[in-house]
Amino acid sequence: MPIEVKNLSFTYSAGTPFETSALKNISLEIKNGEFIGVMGHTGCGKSTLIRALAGLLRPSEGSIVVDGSDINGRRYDRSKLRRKLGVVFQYPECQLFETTVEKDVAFGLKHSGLNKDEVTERVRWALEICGFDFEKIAKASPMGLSGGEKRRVAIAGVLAVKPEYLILDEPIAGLDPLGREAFLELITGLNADGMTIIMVSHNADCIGEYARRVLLLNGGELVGDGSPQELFSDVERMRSLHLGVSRSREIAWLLKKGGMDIPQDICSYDRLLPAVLAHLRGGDEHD
Amino acid sequence: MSMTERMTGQFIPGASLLHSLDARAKLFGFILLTAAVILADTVAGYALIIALMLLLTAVSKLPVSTVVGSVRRMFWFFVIIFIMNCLFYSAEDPIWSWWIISLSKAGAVQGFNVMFRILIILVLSNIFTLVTPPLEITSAIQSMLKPLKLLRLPADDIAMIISVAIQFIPTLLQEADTIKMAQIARGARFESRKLHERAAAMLPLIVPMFLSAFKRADELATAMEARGYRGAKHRSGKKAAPMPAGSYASILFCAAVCAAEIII
Amino acid sequence: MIKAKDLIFSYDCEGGRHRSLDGACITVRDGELVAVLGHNGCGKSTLVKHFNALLEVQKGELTVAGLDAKSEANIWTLRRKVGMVFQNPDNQFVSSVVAEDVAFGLENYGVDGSEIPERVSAALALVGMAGFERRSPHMLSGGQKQRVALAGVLAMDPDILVFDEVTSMLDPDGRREVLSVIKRLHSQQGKTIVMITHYVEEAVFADRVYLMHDGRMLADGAPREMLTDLELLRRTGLTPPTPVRMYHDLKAAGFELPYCPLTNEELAEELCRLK
Repeated sequence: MPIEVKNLSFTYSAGTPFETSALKNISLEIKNGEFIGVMGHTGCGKSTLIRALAGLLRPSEGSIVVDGSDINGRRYDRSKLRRKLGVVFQYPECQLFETTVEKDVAFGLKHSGLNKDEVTERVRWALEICGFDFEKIAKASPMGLSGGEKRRVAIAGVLAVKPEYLILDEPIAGLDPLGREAFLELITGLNADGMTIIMVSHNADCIGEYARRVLLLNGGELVGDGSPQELFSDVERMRSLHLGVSRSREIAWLLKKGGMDIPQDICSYDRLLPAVLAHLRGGDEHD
Repeated sequence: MSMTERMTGQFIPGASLLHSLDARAKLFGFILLTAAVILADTVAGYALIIALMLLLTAVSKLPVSTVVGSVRRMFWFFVIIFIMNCLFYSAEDPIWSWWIISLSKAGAVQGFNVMFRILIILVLSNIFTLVTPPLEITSAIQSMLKPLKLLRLPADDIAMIISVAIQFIPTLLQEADTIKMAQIARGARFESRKLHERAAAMLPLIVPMFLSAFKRADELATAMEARGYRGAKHRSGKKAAPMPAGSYASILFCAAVCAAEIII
Repeated sequence: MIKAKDLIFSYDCEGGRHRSLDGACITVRDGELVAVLGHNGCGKSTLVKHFNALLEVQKGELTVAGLDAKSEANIWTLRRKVGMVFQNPDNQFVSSVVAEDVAFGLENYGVDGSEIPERVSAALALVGMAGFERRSPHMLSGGQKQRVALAGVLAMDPDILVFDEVTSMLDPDGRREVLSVIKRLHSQQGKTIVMITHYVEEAVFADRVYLMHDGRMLADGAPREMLTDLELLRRTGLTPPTPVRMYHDLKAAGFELPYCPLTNEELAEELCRLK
């Protein structure tokens, strides 16, 4: 199993009056090529989980095994994990620091052992996949770019190491509709090429339309693990967790409440439309 | 998250007498008592200080372990202070001496004095920060800056700058934490042993922090302008709330302790 | 009342001079809630920063609350009459105590100190944050922070409120909280409101919508007109609300609803009626 999380717990400020447990006994498995959405109300432990998975926090209890080795094991080489697993933090554009876009994207390749030409090739690949013209952007200063461009450069910097696993924390926050669409297309493309995606977002639409599996966190506990169809089917519960469901799911739910017999496992638009059409056409034909 | 938590100080909410006192009174009292501790140099003086600490702990209604708290972890620091003072105090009648090292009774007393004072002051500041929210400490410090006006210094502007800077600290610390994590995830090596490497390794942290701090400062300046800020001199004079009588009594009490230490 | 005509604003940048406003015109009547929609970088932020003289009018005409925004003598009156809340909740606090922060504007205008606590509490109550006077802003949630920032503006009792993408950094709960306060200020307090956003759904409850692109207005009208026009939305760089998308997809498949719904509820109601 590529990523195996067993009985993971994390406690901040242990032994003080401020002791808070951010994660409580979480166990889950992540397979290669999955597209996982992680949802949870602010303070549910999402950030802690990301940091633990990325080996940036040592769990108080439990283990995280990536490709067969415990990433908190004493002899584990963390730099191996850095090349396997990329993390795009919230507002990643804040982390740019180099004088040129090319240098910034190449930063993660410093200790990769690649030669100069290979590094340039990687940087070119990463920038192009993020929608840039390499020749035009390479020598530009990242500080002079627009907000959306900066974010794509930052993501290119994470992709440059060609990680097998990509963790994203609220990647579409602050992007406008076209920016959001372009970004989600990029991620879907990477996933289609085999990259495992773990995307944290409180945007139920983007999870409902794109993720194939959803993890629900609440108060540091894993309170749901299944397909968006399964988890979104209980609209009331999602609301009680302060999460809400995708708009397509909400429409299906409202239709059912209004007396229309429509499947309640719909959470994306490309299933909602055919279902509504089938209903309007067929009347009582069910498939 | 962990860093911001530390930033909120060690304040523990409570309803004790110490909690309810005005922060300015507590700050003033803290300064007076610190002076008293430094002045204490007789057995009676020490006894008074110890009695006072027990009294404060009891009144604060905090568990002793919390009050002593971080001080316990500094055990070796105190041992070293004691030994250093013992060994390097040049007394006239050393019990034993060699080269610059001399062991004497006076040295031991001196070692004990220094150790005792540091320990008590640390516990005292612990109690002060445990019963006073950090933001009240800030405004207490600000109101103590007021006399600067007499020296024709722009006390109001300074107070404004301090206030703005302090409220930015938690945000900036949190951001520093995130950027550090992000760069480590990208393969940055902050833990490098070699000094020159470590300095270079800090750039991915320092550059974004600077940029972000400037951006934030710029946005805040715009927001302040939008709310009509044009220098502290245009602002309505803020009258600080008068201190309640109990607070004056507590200052008086601390002053009495201080005076007692001078007399003893 | 805001009346802007042919505003032009340009600044120097790496690739030469960039024109972020290119003949922008907008009219906001008293008591109206106007949403300005546009993608990032279309100039909507630049536009509203003219309303309280944060940016100087380079070219064009602008009158706000009866004052000529071009006259330097009006700057401080303008800033008092036009309250503005910004995008990043973390970058607008001046104090680590909520009450002191809310009082900031009042103190800047020399409001008598004895009046301040009352006005601060009243403003906090208006945004549903009564009782938070002694709290520290950085310990609040994003939605609460934005509401405190709004209280700081409301304490000055401005005629016009300008919201510069105030929900874009908030989680769904925070967005809901802030939007409901904005709606309430409009309906109960009768405030004139200009709200800029790129969330099409947030414009649904506006009285009027402006669609902005490349520094000028493409169109303006009622939300029901503006947000149902696929071609117009596409040209503005926006995506239609889900019900609008569905209306058009159903129409293409031969099912026409009596009108184009704007909200999920309207869509569900019409579909169920069609059945």
